Amino acid sequence: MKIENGFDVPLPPQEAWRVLMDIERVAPCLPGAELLETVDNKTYKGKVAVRLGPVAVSFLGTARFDQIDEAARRARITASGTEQKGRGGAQATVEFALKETGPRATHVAIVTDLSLNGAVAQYGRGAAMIQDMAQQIVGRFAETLKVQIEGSEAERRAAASEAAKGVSGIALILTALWRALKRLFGVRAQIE
Amino acid sequence: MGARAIGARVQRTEDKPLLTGQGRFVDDIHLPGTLEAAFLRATHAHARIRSVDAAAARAMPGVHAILTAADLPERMRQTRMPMLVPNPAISELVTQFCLARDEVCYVGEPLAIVVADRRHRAEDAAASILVDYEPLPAMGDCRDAVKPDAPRCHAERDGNIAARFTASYGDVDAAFGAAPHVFREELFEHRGCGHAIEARGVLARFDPAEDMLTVWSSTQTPHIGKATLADLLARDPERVRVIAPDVGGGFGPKAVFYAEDAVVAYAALHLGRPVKWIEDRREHFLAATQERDQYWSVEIAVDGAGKLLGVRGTMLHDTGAYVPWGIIMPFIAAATVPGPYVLPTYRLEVTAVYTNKVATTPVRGAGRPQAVFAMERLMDRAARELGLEPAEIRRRNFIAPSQMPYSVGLTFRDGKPLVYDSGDYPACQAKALELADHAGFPVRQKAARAAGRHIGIGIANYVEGTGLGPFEGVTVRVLQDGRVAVVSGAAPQGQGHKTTLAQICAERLDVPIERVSVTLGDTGAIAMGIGTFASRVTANAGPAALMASDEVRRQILALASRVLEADLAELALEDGSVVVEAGNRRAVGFGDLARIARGMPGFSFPAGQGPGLEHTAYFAPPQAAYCNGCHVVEVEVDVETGAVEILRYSLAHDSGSLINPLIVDGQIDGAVAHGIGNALYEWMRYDANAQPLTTSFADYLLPGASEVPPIARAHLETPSPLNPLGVKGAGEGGTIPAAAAIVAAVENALGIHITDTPIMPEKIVALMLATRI
Repeated sequence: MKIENGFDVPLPPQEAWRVLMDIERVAPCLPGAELLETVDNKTYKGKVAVRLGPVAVSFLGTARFDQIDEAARRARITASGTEQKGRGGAQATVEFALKETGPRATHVAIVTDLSLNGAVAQYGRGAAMIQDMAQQIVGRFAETLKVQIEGSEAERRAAASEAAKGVSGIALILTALWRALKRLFGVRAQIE
Repeated sequence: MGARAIGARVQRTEDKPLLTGQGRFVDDIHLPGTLEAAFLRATHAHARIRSVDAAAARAMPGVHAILTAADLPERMRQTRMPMLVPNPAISELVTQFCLARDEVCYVGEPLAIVVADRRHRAEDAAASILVDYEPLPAMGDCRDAVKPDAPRCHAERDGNIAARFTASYGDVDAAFGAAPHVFREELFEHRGCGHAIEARGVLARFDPAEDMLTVWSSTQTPHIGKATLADLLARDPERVRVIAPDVGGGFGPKAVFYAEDAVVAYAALHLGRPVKWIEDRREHFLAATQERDQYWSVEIAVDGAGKLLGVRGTMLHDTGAYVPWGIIMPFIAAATVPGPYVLPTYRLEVTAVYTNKVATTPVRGAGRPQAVFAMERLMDRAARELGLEPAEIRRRNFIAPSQMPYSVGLTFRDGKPLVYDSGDYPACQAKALELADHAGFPVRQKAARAAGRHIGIGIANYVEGTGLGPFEGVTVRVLQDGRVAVVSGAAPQGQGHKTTLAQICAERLDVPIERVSVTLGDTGAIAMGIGTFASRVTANAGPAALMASDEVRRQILALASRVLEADLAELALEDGSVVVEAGNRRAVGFGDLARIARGMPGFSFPAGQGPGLEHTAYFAPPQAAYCNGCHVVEVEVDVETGAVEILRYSLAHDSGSLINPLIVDGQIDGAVAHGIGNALYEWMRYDANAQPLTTSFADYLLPGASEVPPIARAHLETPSPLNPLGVKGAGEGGTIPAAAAIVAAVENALGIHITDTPIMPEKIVALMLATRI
């Protein structure tokens, strides 16, 4: 499953690049993520928890930068994880590309190739739902990162603890429903 | 009562216990000391297994054993599951191991069994087993898998093609070359799962005192299970007994012998404790066999009057990861295409290809619904192009009753030439049209359109090979309390076999049906048996019950003649007794005769008398008996949502002579419900990596009571000449033409062209948008 999305960082590209490559700094911004171990400067072990309604899944796995092109400001991460209650696993390659969009503005485009296996693949039926969820996770990541860069000490701490809780299931479902309704009415508008 | 039993609408004797909670299903059987099992199943559709580490899981509370392939005895580890239906067209034969050894080939393939004191502990321990997988490319779409350079579904095999064969007769290319009209269709046909209300279940007990392994299994085929278990476990077949207790539906998938059956039985032997495994619904979605995808590329040649000249094309069948029942569905499908029509030439080239999904085996209809969909879509297309009524083009092409028996020109799956034994196809369609008030439809449609509603009508015909052999056996025995015992290997799953067989026996022996006690599906009760599938039991066990009853009747009369000192000509059977129809009507009851027939210790029988009043008869039909039917469906489509409502469902069908019309009604209604599911709701979805996506009834829709309308049915009864009861099968017919008729009705309602089944609302809306309705 290919997921394309992106976010904006209120920094010029060279600074944004430096921040993003500091995994220990940015990992806490990713909702539900926990960095457990830095194996070397390219390989990290961690945990990602996602709640979708009544279903809570938690992946334990490894992420590794297998391409870093600092000049072009592109990087690729390969990650794989196993759900902690035997409900399958996930593999992903994530490509980041940074682009200057203003004096202190950088857009980070993300292309993720995700494959799920086992029960987690069935929870995520409907690529649209997973894409909505991925977009929300990235959106929350970007917001938290923005606070990390621009916010006061108190704001930073509040944002980090919020991110550690992960993305709320209800919010996810409501947003996904809203998008589904918009799609439905889009179709109806075409019929009429 | 006795004299009127055959053909009467007798209430099913099975129903009271089932409806009052007295049924005894596998999970209702509680043996002291029973342990519960769960299976660790593959999460990858295709992967090499680098290692399985169960050390931590084995130490978890309540866990008695965790067995992987390495823990199985040599024979079980080395032997793949049997392939039950050989076919020379199969070029690459792969069936499953009991537990996966070094490769998994579909999501859900069992890797290990965990046996614990409670099911939830077994599940928790299964989740804690660490499997190191090396993912391999998985084939999720049979159109990709068939390409020569496609990654292999089985790493060690030469290719993904399971079988190729061609069904053909006549010079089809010459017919097409000279044909005034040729029309082509590209069709995608999907059928889902069986989804019996009771999923699979196995309880196994080893009793060292009897040296007996007893397995209670929710199966359609206990005798096949017994033979296979004896092979895999290297046990004396006399020391293996398989019992199918009450079984909550089968529909095909339970005809298969599964790896889980053998592994549970071995666990019970290994642990010396009863072991029970009850499949949950998610496992059923993952690991019980299904039907699936077929891609048909077919064309039809007709003359200007709509007369058929030929049909030709190709069909690609997704067989899944293994072929436990060979290529039976595509084979049956290829033989079902000609149907009730005079089709002078025909050629279908079939390719069955492996994918990394659970194996396919027959589900109610077994390839026939797909074949009928293809043929009936072609008939509808030809009718539209030539400006004929769909019913009229069919009428012009029917095989006439005077042409029976009719040789189609193909070989059927029973290995015999495809020869229709009897039937009146024009009368059957005419009856269905009459029930549907087909003549009045144009007026109804016009009125509906004027009111802004979209209604449509569709029609489909089929011929189905039923009553497949090789044989079924029935023992009839008079008991010393005067009751009559009937025993057969034909295990039921709700079809009412007990009632049907009791009716036949009651009539021939003139006993009340309540005094006939029927035992089915117990390998300890009758030596040989096959099972329930292929609409075969009434046409196999029925005649066997008739033959056994008639022999026992002869024995009863012979013994009574000696006991009553009366001529045979003076004797009559009456309500469980033999009566001398003269003088003061002396009589002797069946119970007394049964005691006499046991003999006295040390005394010789009088000349001509044998032990007991008992006979076992096996009936082996010479070939399949062909039933037929016509379905007419009227639907309304909501053009905003694409929702389809069935307004009227009318059908006429002919399954030969009926033993119990009430039971046949029930079979037809249930089968139509299944066909409605296939047409509108049931879609087992996988992603591109062959990961199953629809593994609950929230995602995989079944028709419920509100989606299945009342069905108007007419029974035609053209007796089959192939068995002494004149019967044919009736269990699957209702499913076979349903999707073709429903889809035709939706097409007619909207003026769109449909080439797929099932048709979900989103597909209908997309077609409407594309056609600018």
